Amino acid sequence: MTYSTPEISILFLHAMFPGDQSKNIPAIDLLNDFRVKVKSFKQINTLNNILTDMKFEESDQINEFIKKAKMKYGSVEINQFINDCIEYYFGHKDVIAPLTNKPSPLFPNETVLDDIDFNLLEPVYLRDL
Amino acid sequence: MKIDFDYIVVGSGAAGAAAAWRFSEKNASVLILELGDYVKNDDYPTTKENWEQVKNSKFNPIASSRKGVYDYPVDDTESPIALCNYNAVGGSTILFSAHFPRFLRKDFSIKSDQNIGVDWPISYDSILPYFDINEKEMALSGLIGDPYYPEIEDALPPVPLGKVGETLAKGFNQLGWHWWPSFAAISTREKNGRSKCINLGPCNAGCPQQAKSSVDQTYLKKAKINGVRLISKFSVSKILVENNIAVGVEGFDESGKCKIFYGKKIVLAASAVGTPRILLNSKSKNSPNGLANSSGLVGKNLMIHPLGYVEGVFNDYLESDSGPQGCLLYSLEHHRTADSDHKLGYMMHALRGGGPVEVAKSALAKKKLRFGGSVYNDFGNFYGKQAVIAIICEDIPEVKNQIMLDYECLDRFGQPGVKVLYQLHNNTKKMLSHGMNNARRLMKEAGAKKSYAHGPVKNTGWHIMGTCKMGLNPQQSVVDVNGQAHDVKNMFIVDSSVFPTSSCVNPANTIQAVALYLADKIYDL
Repeated sequence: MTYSTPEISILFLHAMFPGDQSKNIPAIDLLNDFRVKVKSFKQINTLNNILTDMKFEESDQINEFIKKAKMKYGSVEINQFINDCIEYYFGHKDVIAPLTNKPSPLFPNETVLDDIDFNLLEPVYLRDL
Repeated sequence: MKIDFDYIVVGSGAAGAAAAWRFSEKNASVLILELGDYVKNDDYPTTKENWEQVKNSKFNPIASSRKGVYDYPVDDTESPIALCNYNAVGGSTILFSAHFPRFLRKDFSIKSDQNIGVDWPISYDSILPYFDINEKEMALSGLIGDPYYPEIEDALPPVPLGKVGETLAKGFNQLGWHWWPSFAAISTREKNGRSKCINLGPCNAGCPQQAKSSVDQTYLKKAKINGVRLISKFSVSKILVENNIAVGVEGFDESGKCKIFYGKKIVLAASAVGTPRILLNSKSKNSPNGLANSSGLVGKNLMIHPLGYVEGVFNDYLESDSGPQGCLLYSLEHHRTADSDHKLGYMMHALRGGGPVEVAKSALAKKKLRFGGSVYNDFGNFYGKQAVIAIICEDIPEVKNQIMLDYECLDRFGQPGVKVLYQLHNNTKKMLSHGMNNARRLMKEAGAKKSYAHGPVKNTGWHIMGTCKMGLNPQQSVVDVNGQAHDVKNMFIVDSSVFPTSSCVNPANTIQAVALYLADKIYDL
């Protein structure tokens, strides 16, 4: 099957970040602002051209495909694209919350950590420095 | 000539804020001129959903990458370490990690003790009372009793270690090495109107809780109550001198209008980058190589504290995503190492893990993040399970390491930016290697399933020192023991530019203690 732009890049991004239903982690293309944000990824047009040229298919093994693409087209632009993907996906509140159990934004939510076990310091304190 | 103020302080960061407050406590009239703007609480990244993206853009500490509207250009392409700073009211304390140890007594006498570098021309004992003052004003937290710091007698309770700290501490104990919970400029309890720390994590993105003691929350608040005037978004371009006496400063307001302020004493505290930039730019017929530069040492002897990172990854979740990222514990076991082929030594500074974006990028860089269905488990192998030991190396002052003016990259007012020339000393390279090997031993002992080491780490040039050295000999230093320029009366430097040597610990506490000490000396002159 041949995909047109931008469907092919959406398919590719879905393959990179497919979500995990068991952990309530959404796929990248299901994030509410995905269609707006993806346009701002620096190398989106380059990626579209690469995917079209290499005839990316849903059945392709994603990591192998990226490896081959880097060998064929060089890694600089592809790495820039991946960097933007990671910043967007792992920075999205709908991903962060189920993935890390941390609120987003962080402020003003307190995390309580145990007080220090002072017995741990005994060997240090008893040493003659 | 109309004298506007008793003191004009250039820069509102760690040193400038402390000195300005000290002057104001003596009822002097003080003007602070700050290059940057105020940071409002809801500007901080951790108030945003995409906090790591904001942290890496507007709040990026790397001067050459941030390129904010209030920044001057910095070219660090000829340095393995990028300069980190922040131009805002509060200076780099807005983004510092708040790790707050003191320099050690031995740090002031490395020439006498180890025949390397120079001795400080002022004694450690003379600074001690100012550490006490500073730690009170900056809400020091930590645990009293570290054998390396017998003089510290008062602090708020320490920041929590959490599971990650306890895990590392057990590793240190098994090796028989010194460690201690961090001293931090973080209010761990509600006190004096300050909120307590709520363990958000990334203190180096700024603290909307206002528990971290950036100086906009400490000295500047009190200074303003005392009547200190602060003008933000004002770029000082040069010092005005008449008959070898500093009389004022010239610069540009936000609109680009050139303005002059006159003062009885001019006090520079614009950082070890900003201060030499102003002096080198203040050249004239009488000072063709820059002001106060008859020694040729303005901008020279740059020290940055090269860092190595050793990251340990553990099987269990260690809560390393919570608590002050840069304040956990430290070790001075290798502050001096007799059986090594390097002189001086390093601190082991334990750090907690990063946020999700940072962790994902880090895993990808290690080729441990696969895309597709595996991406979540791969991410989970790192997130909250990392601990880092930063090896902070004592740097050696060398004349060839320097800040220069860069006339090819100008700021928005047409003033030159800076270029950084810096190379690691051979002693530092040996020290770095020694430290990273030891940190890997520590990680193994603590139970890490894997450790990763690299250094020098590029984006870690926070601890900038030495570019206007203090000394007794005018031919070998820029300022005297009172911080006054040898060449120019009534012009003083109180920031880390004056440090003759660098220690191996975070310098913020010592920068402020020295600034307070010099403020008293300057007042008495």
